[in-house]
Amino acid sequence: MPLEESPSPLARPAAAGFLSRAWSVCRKDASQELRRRIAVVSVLFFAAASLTLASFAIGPFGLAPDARPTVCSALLWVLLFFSAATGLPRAFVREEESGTALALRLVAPAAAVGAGKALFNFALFGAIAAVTAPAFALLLGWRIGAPLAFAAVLAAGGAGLSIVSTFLSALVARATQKSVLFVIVSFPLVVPLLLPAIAGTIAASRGETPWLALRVLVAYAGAAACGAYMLASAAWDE
Amino acid sequence: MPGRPEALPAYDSLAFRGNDRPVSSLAFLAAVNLVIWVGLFAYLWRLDRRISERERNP
Amino acid sequence: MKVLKLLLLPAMGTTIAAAFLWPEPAAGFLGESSRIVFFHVPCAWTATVAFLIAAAYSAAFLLRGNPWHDDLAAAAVRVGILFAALALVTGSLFAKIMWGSYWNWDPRESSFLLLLFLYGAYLFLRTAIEDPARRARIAAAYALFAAVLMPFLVFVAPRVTQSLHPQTVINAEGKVLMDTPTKTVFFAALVAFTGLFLWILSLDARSARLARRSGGNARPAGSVASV
Repeated sequence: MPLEESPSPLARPAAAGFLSRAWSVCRKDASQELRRRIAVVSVLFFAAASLTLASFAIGPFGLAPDARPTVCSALLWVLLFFSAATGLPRAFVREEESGTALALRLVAPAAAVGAGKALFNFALFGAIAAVTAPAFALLLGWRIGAPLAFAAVLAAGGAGLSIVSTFLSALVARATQKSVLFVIVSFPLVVPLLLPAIAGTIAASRGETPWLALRVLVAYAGAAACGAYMLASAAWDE
Repeated sequence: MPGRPEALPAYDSLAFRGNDRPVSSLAFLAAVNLVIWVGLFAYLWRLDRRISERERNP
Repeated sequence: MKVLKLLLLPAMGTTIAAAFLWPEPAAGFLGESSRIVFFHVPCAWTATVAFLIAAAYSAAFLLRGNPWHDDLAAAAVRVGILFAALALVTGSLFAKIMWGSYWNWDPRESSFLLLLFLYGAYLFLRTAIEDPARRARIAAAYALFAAVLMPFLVFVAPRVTQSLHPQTVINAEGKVLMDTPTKTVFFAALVAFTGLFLWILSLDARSARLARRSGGNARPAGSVASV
């Protein structure tokens, strides 16, 4: 990821397309986060801490082999959800805290800003998953039968989670007690994503391809993306 | 009346279907619910009047 | 309007009396437990209508910016939560009688509980935003976003797993599986509960409007609403 120091990668002519603006927002977020490291470090620390705890408490032989898929899948998604809840809501909150929200509102339409931030959040989620899922498998003796299906479930679930988190982050950005509010507001919306995600992960680690769960996850991400796109300016513009 | 205890027929003015179901206890439940409903209605009616009054002269 | 409200008194009254006394208990249910259908289903139906109304007025608010629409949306959520809670309580009474425990994590129970969390979160979000204009806008955005994802909660999740819940009125055969007295009382109860809901909704929204106009958060005495 290039750490460019240009004043604003967003300062482009108004004709620049939706996707290129979204991409600029994503790159800006990535360079800022990698420079200040708060989100990345806090998320990875959270993941490492819960991983340590799970591994210490259970270990590679703590679970009967046929209990592993269920327990490990549920634990993995609990970990992913809460790591996401510590890192992903920073998307819009950071702009409000650093006072750059107004400038961002002026240079790019709300939907493009949201898309860029969702993209960055998806990358962040991918980083967490790429670290934690193999670590889980190694430390808890969890054999994953269908790695490709497993990765597909993680990707589809992560996409939905990133989109929902990004949108809700815009909503709570100017409220009081943002972090508590974020968890309360996101939990009921994320449960219908987490349940098929866990079911799909269980099936994938047993070596099956969970078509139903994948379809539900993709439909969920699509519905969330449409909703967030249409409501973006209500959520973000002043 | 088959299957009904001896003591009950005296209270049975509500048992208009003549089978052995506990109609009088159902009638009691219905009466309790009716009382609650009339109370709720009276409360809402008064609230409605008070709100209308406030809307007319704030 | 006044006539309709007055009419509700005998309408709901007869419905209640008839629900206990007219139809025979349905086959396949323990004792008189099937009578819960005249109260439980209308509550659940009313709650669903309430959340749809909330979404509709939220959309209207975002399109027109009329604060009265925001009052109505918030009131619909509050009253909807009330009826959803009643549906949950009556449902778990039925579950105790039929299945032996108040709570089984039946998919339908869980999804309705999550619906309560969802709209509880809506009210919580409203209290966390100070500026009235922003509060209305953000709340409307949340209500609509929730409405987009609600089908996953209500329709997809309960059908992915097996449920003990009796067949719903809108079922696979597309028929109402009831005898005539049951059907009559059932639909009368639906109408009566919807009327009651609309009345409470208008009272709540009007008292919210009064509070908004008088500035400050004070509510008129005896208001239904507290959030």
